[in-house]
Amino acid sequence: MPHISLAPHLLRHLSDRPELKQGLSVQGDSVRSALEDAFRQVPRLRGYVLDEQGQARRHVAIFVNGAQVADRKELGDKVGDADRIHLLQALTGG
Amino acid sequence: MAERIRVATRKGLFTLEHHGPIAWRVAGKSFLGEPVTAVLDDPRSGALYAALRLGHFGCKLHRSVDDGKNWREIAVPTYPTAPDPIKESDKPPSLDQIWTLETGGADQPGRLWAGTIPGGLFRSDDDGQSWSLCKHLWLQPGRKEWFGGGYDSPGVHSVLVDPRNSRHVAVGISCGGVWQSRDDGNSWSLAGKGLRAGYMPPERMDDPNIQDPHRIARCAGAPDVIWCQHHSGIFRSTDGGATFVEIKQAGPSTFGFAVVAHPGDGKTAWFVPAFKDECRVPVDGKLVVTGTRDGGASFAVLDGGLPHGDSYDLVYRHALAIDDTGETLAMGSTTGNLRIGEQGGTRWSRVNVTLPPIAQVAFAQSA
Repeated sequence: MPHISLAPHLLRHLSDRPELKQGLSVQGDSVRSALEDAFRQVPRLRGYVLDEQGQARRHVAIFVNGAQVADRKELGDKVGDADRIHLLQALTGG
Repeated sequence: MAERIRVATRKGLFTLEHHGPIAWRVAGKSFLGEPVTAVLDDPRSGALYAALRLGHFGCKLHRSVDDGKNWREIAVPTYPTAPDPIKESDKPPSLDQIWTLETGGADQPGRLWAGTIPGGLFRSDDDGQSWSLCKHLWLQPGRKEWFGGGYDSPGVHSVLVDPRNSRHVAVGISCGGVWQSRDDGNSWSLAGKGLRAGYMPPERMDDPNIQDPHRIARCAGAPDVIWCQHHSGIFRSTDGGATFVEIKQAGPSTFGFAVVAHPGDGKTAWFVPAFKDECRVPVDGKLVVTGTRDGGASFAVLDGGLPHGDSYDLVYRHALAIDDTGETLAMGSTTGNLRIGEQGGTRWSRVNVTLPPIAQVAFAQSA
């Protein structure tokens, strides 16, 4: 199953879920579907990563195996069972 | 006099309380490090609301029922997912900032108003558990002409509920003029005739739809009186915002952002002038407040206790407040200074704290 790691900067807004420090194992074969499974497990996470239009927030960076995803609108990059997704704050903004 | 002041800042929400006869001290801190764009005490429910604009993770709204000791994240207003039919943009709008929060009337428990950027007004009837966009205002064809003032996109910054009839609401929009509803926000009409936008081409200066009222303030005791600190000067309405008359002289400058109306006297209001649009600092580096007690016919320069020079404080539109007695003012600046003006703003003192840049100050009753 793909694994999602959350940056400490994001975790501090979800302090009521301390288990998230270990990340999330999710189901899905794309960044979008993996994130949707994460949001199913942690509904409040959605609004921190995506805006209400379903797009990645401007100052959120999403990496798959260390490479930043280019498709921030559809989030269609493919992911496999061994892949690692990182959700980080971009160094701009904030 | 109110005994507490809420201060929403670029890096947290602070509550100050009396400490001794005149001194104030920080009694509470929440969301340290986070931008707090609006704060609201709801005397009907006792709840406290704070709107955040997280730099990375979007806008959030929190509610506390124990005076800020504990917070619970609640719903934020959300924009329609369809492309904007008025701006004709393929990119659907999304919430950029909750710019102001207001309560509905005492007879409307649970009702809240949220003015936002990029230009949507939202209403909640369940203490912020859910929000609905005021679609009639959002879908006005004239919104195509609105534009940003201070921020990239238009924003609703002032929501004035008529104390005589809570269904009557007026809003101020930068830059989209003054609008009124008489049916709980279900339908809207453009008001604000007489406002004049000096920054526009001559043929558009008087168009009510593109005005930049930096802030509008209603006198609770004379609700037809609405004061306006506009980008291009100071204006006053005596017919609930339908029409405004310009006040051309008001101390060192008529440019500024903030205005407060006396709670009982429709002829009394206060402003904080800055030099001009292109130079948003006090005139000659001398921070003053201007006040009128005769409906704007004359203004007093209220500088007692304020610095006499080399002060470059700018007071944003929500950062001037008056308490329920009409005697005490509070003023917060973008340089983090908080000042209290006793005796109608004639005697100012600086609270001995250095805060982050201040977005809003508001008086509150003791817990």
